[in-house]
Amino acid sequence: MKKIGAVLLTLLACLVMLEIGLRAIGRGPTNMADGTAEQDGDSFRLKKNSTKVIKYPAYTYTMHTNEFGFRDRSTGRRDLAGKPFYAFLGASDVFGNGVEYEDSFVGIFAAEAKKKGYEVLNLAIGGHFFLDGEDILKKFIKETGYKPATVVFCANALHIPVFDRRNKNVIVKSGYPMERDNWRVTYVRLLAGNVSSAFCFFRDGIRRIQERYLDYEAISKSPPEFIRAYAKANPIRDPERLKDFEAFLAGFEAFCRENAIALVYVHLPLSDSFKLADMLTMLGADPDDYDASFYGDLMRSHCTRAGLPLVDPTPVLQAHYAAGRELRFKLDPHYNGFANRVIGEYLAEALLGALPGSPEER
Amino acid sequence: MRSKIFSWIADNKMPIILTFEIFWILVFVLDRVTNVNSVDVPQFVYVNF
Repeated sequence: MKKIGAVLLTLLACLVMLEIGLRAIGRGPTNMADGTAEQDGDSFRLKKNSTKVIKYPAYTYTMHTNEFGFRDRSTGRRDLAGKPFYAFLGASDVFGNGVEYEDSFVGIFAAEAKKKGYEVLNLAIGGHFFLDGEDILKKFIKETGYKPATVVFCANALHIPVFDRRNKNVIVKSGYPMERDNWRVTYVRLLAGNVSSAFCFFRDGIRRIQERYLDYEAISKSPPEFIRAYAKANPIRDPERLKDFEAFLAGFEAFCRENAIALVYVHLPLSDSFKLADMLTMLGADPDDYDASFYGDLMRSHCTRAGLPLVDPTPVLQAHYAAGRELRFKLDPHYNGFANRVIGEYLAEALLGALPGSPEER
Repeated sequence: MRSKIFSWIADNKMPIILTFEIFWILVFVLDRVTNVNSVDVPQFVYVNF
């Protein structure tokens, strides 16, 4: 017991020395600023007119929000009066996690749309589900009176199975959204990152070892969730569940029709879907129990029945992947800058008839 | 008071030295890993898909 006390006291003294040393050489805690979220009922949304440099182990980028609290090129006012505009709905992949706004596929599409006289709003927020996005859109229309000419509804394999889920138990502390039930543990980690250089030093060092030497790729629980999404046993394949999904889409389509909003669906394949077979082999799972094409096929058949356009960049991304191009960040499964550019140009071509850049660049 | 502290340190010399050495070796290793080719400073991850 006495020895354990000595070890703990020595550790404490070493941590204090490390803390002082790190600060002395200018390596302060990394989470000095507030987070980017604000409470929105029992959910969350982005703060309006805010700028934050997001620094993760996987990437660093700057996020600006406009007067409506949507990710944009810069903070400030957006003059939408009398102008047709596209509104993108989705989650972190549409938000553009990991890349600057201009390099996100929405930003690339927006640059091309501008040339054709269209504005673009990116209503996507990381961590949001379909219902959260729908809620954000309806609130935006109600509060501002602006109606998008076209809504671009982006769907992926992680969100279709949970189409009826929404954030409803979220608490925002210091600008960071967290589950209300267990927010204290998350908040302590956040505070530790806010106040302790030593905590950040160990956290970052361990992440880098994982990245460099352990072939560590995806963070959090995304690999198992990602694998489950493609399982043929996934509950979304149940006919009743599929009927509910169709009904959800039909409800949203009715809303768009009532408001004279054109609707375009986009199926965004997950970056790791292209190596599903390899991952299944590594896990010792039977590839016959999984199907990476299910969600693309599902959206295609729905759009055919509903008479609505679908844009699906899967083939072009697949071609790049087959040619050996990396589509994601090493430490995070979101699309990297290259994949964002491919998707943005594909969307511009499909929706605007625009083909930015030379063929060689594409 | 001071003699008490010195006596406590003398009594626990081995665990204190071992902890001290292991801690700073770990810091050295992590620092090497973090500094080689690192361009960004990580931050708390709160948003994913």
